[in-house]
Amino acid sequence: MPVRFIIYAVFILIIFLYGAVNFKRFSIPYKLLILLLGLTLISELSGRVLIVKLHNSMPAYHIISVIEYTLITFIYSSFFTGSIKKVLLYLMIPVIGFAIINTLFIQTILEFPTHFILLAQGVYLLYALTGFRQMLLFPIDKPLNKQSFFWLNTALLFFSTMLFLFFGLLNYINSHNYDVGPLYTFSYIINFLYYALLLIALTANKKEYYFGQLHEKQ
Amino acid sequence: MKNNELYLVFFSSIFFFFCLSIFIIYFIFLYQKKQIKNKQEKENLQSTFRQELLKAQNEIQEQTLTYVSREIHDNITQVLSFVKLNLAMTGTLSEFERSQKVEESRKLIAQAIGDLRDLSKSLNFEHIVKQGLVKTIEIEVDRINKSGIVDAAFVVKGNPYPLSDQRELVLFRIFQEAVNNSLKHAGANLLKISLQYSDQIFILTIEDDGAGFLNNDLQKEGSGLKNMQSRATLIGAVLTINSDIGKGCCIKITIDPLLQQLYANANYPNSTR
Repeated sequence: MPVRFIIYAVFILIIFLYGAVNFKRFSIPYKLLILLLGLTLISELSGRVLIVKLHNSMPAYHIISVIEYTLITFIYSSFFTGSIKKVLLYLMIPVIGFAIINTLFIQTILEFPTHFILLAQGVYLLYALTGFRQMLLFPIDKPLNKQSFFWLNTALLFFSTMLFLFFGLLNYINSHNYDVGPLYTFSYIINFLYYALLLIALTANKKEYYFGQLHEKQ
Repeated sequence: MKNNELYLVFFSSIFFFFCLSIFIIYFIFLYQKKQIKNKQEKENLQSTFRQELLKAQNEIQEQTLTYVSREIHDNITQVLSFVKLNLAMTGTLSEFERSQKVEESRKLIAQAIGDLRDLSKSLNFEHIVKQGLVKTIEIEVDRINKSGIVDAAFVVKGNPYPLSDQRELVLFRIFQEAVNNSLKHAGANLLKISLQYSDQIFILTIEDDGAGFLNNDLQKEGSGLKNMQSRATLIGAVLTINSDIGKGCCIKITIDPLLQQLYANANYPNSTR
């Protein structure tokens, strides 16, 4: 098992443990985020087991990408109300439908589900931008660095755009038969930064609802 | 070749980081601008609210003083004059008649004292806060009925809860204004006032059978109705007016009791949002 993977897994474990220990003080969306962190950790570890047993970890990615999409959608839907919330939730049906079709017919269980992951990242990008827009529409009297929603949006925006860059570069490097090693190191750095931003989001959260419930009636 | 891959990854990621950083910095700048604007708007709203509250207090006091002066002139002065006459007549009366007159005068003076006590209570502005909206409206409805100008019915549905002093004060002033309109302009014979309390909603309804007006004419109507609407907005309430010529007028003020207004500090115990 590569050392960088161990460090990566330990890092996720630390964030998950931080969330689990303080679970009660978090608001529902952040509780879902902690659940997502736990499931991601399990998926990363089971991926390693699958590599040893089946020499292929792709089934884990097929499952976790759908779970991740579902949880992130639930997280964001609790921040929004009205038509945005409805769109987010109704959009789950075609997106998950696409994930199933992709796994069954297009990129089967032993292939990396790039189609679905790219689609999901596009959706996350929209979530993050909508979140930023929502923050601008309903500003609160609190410094930005203490607003967990800001850090969550930043994490998602950063991760989804960087993943597009990663896949773009991967295509380019593969087509030119270059060494993909540096790119995988780059992907680890992206992941570390992403989880670090999520950790900041968790530390900033103090059982608050910023937009969903608060502005529903205003 | 390895350098090429490294350069590619390095420069493209630097470019992406740069774009992201620009976006985040621009967002922070915009957000701070919005925060400052929002803070100013809140302060303006608070100041408008305070002014409106003061205005409403003055208007309530003015109305109360008018009522007090009318009561002193029409009721207490008359009673005391009658007592004075009664006592003046006692000199020529027999012992029995005299004691009857004195007893009658004593009762009349007791009634005058009671009326004066009620008046002193109504002079005290704090009575709205102390008694609460339901009691204050009930007293006002009694007064209207005693005046004989109009028949007023008052109904309370649900279990009353406090809506915050400031809100109740403004609501009472809106109620007074609506009733005044019905009495002065609509020529109403019947007034129906209802308070509806539930966990989700509070509704104050003032309905009359007066002349009414076209809803389209609302904008043309005096500043009274607009005033009521703007006051309702200030306490986070929604005021709707339904009227038609010859069909009277119904004013409904609706509040979500759980809604927290920064400037109208709700005291409702479940105001956790």
